[in-house]
Amino acid sequence: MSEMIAQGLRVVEIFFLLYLLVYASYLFLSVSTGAWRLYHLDRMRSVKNELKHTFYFPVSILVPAYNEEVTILDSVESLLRLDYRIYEIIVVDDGSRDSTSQVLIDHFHMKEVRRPIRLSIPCKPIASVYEAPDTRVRLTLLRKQNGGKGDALNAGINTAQYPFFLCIDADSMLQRDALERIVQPVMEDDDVVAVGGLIRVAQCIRLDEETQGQGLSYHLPWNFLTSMQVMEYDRSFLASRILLDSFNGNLIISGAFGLFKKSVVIAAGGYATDVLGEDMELVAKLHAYCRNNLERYSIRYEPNAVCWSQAPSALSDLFKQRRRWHLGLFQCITRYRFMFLKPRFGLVGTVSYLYYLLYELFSPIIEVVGITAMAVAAVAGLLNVRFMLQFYLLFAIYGSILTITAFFQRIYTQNIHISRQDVFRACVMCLIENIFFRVVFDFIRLSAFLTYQKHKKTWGEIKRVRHSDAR
Amino acid sequence: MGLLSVKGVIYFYIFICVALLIFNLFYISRSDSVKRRQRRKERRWEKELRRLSTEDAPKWDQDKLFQKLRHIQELMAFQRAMERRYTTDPKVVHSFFLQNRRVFLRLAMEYGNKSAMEQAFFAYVIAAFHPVREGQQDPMAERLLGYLEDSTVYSRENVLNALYALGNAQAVEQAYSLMNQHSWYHDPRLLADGLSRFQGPKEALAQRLWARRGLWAECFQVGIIRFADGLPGDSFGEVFLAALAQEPLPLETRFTLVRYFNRHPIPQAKPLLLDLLKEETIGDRELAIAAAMVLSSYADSESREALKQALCSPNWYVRQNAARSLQKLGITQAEAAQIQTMGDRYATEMLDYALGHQTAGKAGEREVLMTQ
Repeated sequence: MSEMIAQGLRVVEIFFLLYLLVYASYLFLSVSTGAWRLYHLDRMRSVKNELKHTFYFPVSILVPAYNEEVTILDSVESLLRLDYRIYEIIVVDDGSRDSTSQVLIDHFHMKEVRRPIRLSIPCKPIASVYEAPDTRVRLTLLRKQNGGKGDALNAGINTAQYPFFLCIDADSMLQRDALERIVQPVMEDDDVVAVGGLIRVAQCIRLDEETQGQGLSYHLPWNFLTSMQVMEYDRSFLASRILLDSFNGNLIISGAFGLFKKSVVIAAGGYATDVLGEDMELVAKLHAYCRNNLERYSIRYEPNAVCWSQAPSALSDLFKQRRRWHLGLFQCITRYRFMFLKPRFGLVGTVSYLYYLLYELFSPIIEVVGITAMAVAAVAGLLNVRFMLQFYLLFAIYGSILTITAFFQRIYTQNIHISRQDVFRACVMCLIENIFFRVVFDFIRLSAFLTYQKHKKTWGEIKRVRHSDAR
Repeated sequence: MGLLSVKGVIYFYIFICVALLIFNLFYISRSDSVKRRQRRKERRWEKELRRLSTEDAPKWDQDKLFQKLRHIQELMAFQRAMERRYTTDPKVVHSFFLQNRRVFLRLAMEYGNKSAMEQAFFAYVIAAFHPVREGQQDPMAERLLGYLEDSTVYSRENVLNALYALGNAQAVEQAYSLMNQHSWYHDPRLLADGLSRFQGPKEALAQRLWARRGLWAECFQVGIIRFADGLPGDSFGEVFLAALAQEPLPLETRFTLVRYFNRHPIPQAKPLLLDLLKEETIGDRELAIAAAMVLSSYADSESREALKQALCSPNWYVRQNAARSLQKLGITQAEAAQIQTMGDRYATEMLDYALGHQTAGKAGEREVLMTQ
């Protein structure tokens, strides 16, 4: 019997070590690729290797909003100040129970109009359409029955006038040049159907009207959870996205900031309304649609296009957000399982899918099983506990060094100045994030699995604060 | 496969990552001193350039100038200093380039052996400051064309801008041919925008490029038509009309050709536009959409009648553009009433919205009209 347990533990050990080794290699590869690409982009910009014109193409900005009365005005005001010639803003009030619409109607003196809307993608009925009479760019408000974020975005797509649309969360603010930056990949290559931008934590900067994210005064937020997320965002947006981008393998464009070609999204069927991760689902759908129809396409990531988004600052809010993300990931991975290992889907169906499956979706289970097996082995006297702890610590230090590398990479490529105190805090945060936060996230994601039936359709409300009060 | 070997790999990764981190920290700390050094270089160049318009204008040692500017950092400082000088005195900058023409030709050769990124920057400098060399067989243009062989989208863009700035139509044509041979896509908006900055006779350039349309891909055709669209006068109207009526051009090219007649209406184009609008179900729908928009520039009863009919089109965008065109043409109340009696709710709603009849009705009637 004890021989069998020992045998079983050896299998678990080998699997666990292999798992960690592949993960360590993936992280290493992604951070190195990301660092090189950002260095290269920075250099290119300094020697005028860019497509700088006064006008590119018109874009429709879609802002789905549900109970966003606190942040919506700041967000729309910031969108009206973008450095871009022709664009329109469409706010979709998805049946809010607060006064999201009223705040906009009152502030911009919006008038109700009978605007015919082309129903390209099914969506819940639109009750009314409002237009602002004298804003710099066309501002439209749709009030519709509640149908979820995907449904609100579909209504926005139906109303959008221009061939490309940009989706942005109502609690996010675009850097002044974000629109100009995010359209660059489309100008470079006609096959681009979607572009994702960089999401950064809004609590790090003071967003004033003049600079709106440029020429930043940057500080790590004092809130422990928020500053952890700064590190985490920097690592994931520097590393993973850039590496996957190198072979057109990104399976996600954050719902907080993404540019899409309207005709292709409509042809693919628009946003799904029955999943929690509609942003990831859309990108997977675009891959599937284009590859099934043998269409040339490219889904890109533009690290110089920056969107500042509020990160949850309370543990309960973070818990809800991450649970939702994990459930969304689960729904998407299971829905697009037909892509897995199919030659038609190339590296998307193998490398990207496998990464999301093993290192995002199943990681909490694998890690919890690994820890449990180690505990059993330690109790059975089959494990050198000191050696194992050393190994864990080594891995945590490795993760921290990668994270801090990603953090500094961002600092110098965006010409941000930070204080020595923040440098020190960033180093400490990286270590804590890799030793402690990782376990917290595993717990949250595991609980998402366990409570799937209960929460599979629940978004969960997150407390919003005004951008000016967010720091 | 044991813990020790995994540990070994992770130690190796840690070593590389620490090296990466040290590089980052070194880069951050160095960037300040690099900026300071760069600013010093810029000031030196500014001082030299200030003397250009004075009596004791320096006589430049051509070899020394070449040796300096062959380094990208020095060229960057030179470019910044030149940029400031150019805003106050462009003539002085031009004469500097003419006096040192041989140096810049040597530099063009020198940068030809460097990376595409550095070639792009050299082309940027030429585009920004080099005087026009219109109509001449220009060795500078020839050398810049060489940059296209092994290029990126950015170097192509900068080289094209340099060729536009030199005002050399032949070189522009050669550049397009070369890009077309390699099947390189260049966005038509960038092409049209760039062509509009051409320093030679623009109309002649448009004619020259349009004559080669059959050999080139759609993006070049569209770029040329958009460029011609931005030119004053209607000199391309008949040529474009003939091409639209007789040539099997790609759809996007035909669409752009139809749109040309919006800003440049010619009476001969009207029958074709009416046909495109009426025969939308037989022909390409996109062209009917464009025709509905363009007919707003043809203010007569025939156009109005066709547009009124188009309000009942099965295509949503045709209806939308027809309503907008009727609004531009100034529809009378009697005509609006006549459309209402047609009993097509979609047509009425579209026209109402275009005309700005924005009353939303009673609460019970507030459903927004959503159609395919």
